[in-house]
Amino acid sequence: MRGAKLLQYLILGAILVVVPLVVHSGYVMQILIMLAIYGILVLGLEIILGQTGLFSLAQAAFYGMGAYTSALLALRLGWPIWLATIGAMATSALFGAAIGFPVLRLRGDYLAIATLGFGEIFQLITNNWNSLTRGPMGLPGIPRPHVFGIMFDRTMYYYMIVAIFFIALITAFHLCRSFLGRTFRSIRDDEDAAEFMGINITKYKILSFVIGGIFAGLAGSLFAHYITFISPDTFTYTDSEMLLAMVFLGGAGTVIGPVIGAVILTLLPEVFQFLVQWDMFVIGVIMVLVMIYRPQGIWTSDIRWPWSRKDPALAAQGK
Amino acid sequence: MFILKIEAASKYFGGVRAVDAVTADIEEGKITSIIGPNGAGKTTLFNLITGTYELTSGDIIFHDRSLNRMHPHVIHSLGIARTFQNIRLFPTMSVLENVMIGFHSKLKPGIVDLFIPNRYRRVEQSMKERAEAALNLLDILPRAGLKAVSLPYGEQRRVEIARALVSDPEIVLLDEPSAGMNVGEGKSLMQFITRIRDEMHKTVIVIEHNMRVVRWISDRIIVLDHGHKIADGDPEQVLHDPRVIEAYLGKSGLTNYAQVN
Repeated sequence: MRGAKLLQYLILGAILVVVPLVVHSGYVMQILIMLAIYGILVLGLEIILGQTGLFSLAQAAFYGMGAYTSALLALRLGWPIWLATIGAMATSALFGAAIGFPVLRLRGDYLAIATLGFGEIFQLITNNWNSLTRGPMGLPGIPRPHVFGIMFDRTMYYYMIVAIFFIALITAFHLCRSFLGRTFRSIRDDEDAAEFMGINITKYKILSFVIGGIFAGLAGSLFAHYITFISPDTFTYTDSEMLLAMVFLGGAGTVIGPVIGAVILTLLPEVFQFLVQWDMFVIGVIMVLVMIYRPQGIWTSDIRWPWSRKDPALAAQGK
Repeated sequence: MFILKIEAASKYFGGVRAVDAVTADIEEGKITSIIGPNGAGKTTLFNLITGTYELTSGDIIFHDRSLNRMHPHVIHSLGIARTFQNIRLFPTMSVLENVMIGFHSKLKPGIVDLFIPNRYRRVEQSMKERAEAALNLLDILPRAGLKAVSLPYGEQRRVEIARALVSDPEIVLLDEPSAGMNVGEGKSLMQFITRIRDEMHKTVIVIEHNMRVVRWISDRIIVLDHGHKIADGDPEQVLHDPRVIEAYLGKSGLTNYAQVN
């Protein structure tokens, strides 16, 4: 079983390594890079929403915060890019904690509204603090990373970002499988019971937002240094909503699910481009159909493949 | 030796006096039952001890420490664990994971433990071993890998008790542990509760409606009615107290009961 799983990953890895050597389309490479960035971003939201059950509409704001922090550190202070990336992750984590303290007494819908407000505040600041962010004109000329004086081209950036994505994925897997993930899930399942069992729920909720913020900050920084131009309209409420849809479509509570959701919802608009302005309509219908027929999302933790022999529930009983 | 002192504890919800100036001392290493009709304030008293509510007035002292205004998770780490009247297991988690959560506050693993493989393995291993030991104690170890909510009701109750015991608390609060169990299950559970006292030397406070059970396991009974304590003492004495019978059966019931006896 372990061998088969390893083989799956090796095949996937091999495909990802070979793609840029075979496909010479800038368009395809662009999509793959954006997939990896969105993958990292939804992994962060998966920790907050899927594992801890905190309904956050601020993930795009954390993403934007990472992008702006990294861009400004590199542009204005001339920090090397790897250091700016770490700065971006730290800033998003810090604001994750900062939003946590006042907001985490709220539950469910109220938390959603409060995080929505946080996202709007971020929008207003980036749009209006002209001296720092240049407002709606955006920040052009963000440096691309370079090694030994060679500027990263798209292919090199692709390899870097795919590697970072897999590190993020393995980290997320490890977190969710560990005692930390278990604690997060206990809060999601029954907050009060968790507290009676000795879990300091405030601490772990803030921790959840901090970890989600780190992932978002990383994704934001990678985005800024790839696109080299950022403006406030990339990090709006609609983007938070899209991330939420990715998590729910793929399967909240699993690590792979949200990534699959990200892949589907990034690819669908490209596939349906020929429908012009009707593409979102078709995607909406698909979302509704999935939610009706598979409300838990596409991927679930006890998914059964045609080729897997045992029902996991029965296997657990030793039958 | 008194381990828990409830001193004139009161909890008012607006005009409703759910618990009104209840004073009681809980003896260490004994089983104390709290009984009373529905709405007498039994579960509210449990909630006051475990920190769900703040006391309106009075105090609850555990080992010379006031529990008032403490967070539930702090009270748990001091050594008071509980179960719930309506079972509250974590529905998406396995039986083993449910019980492992109960041990989390004892081990207090940090973020650093996640990234040092040796320490990570040690933390997970000791959580797992403790949880398995607790499940074994309640004879549900074979169910460890199953989803907790897929078990029959009686077994879910056992998982809850295992989850309360895994952190090795000094006091165990059991809120109607035999509710929804059949006669056989109830009986073996009662035997187990006496084992918690005799073999693990823990203090047990139990809310229970089944009078036969209460009479059999209790070292002491406290009776609540409309938020007041109306009787407190050893089982035979309390269960024959006219005021207790009146609270349960009403005034006419009292005369009937007197005629029968």
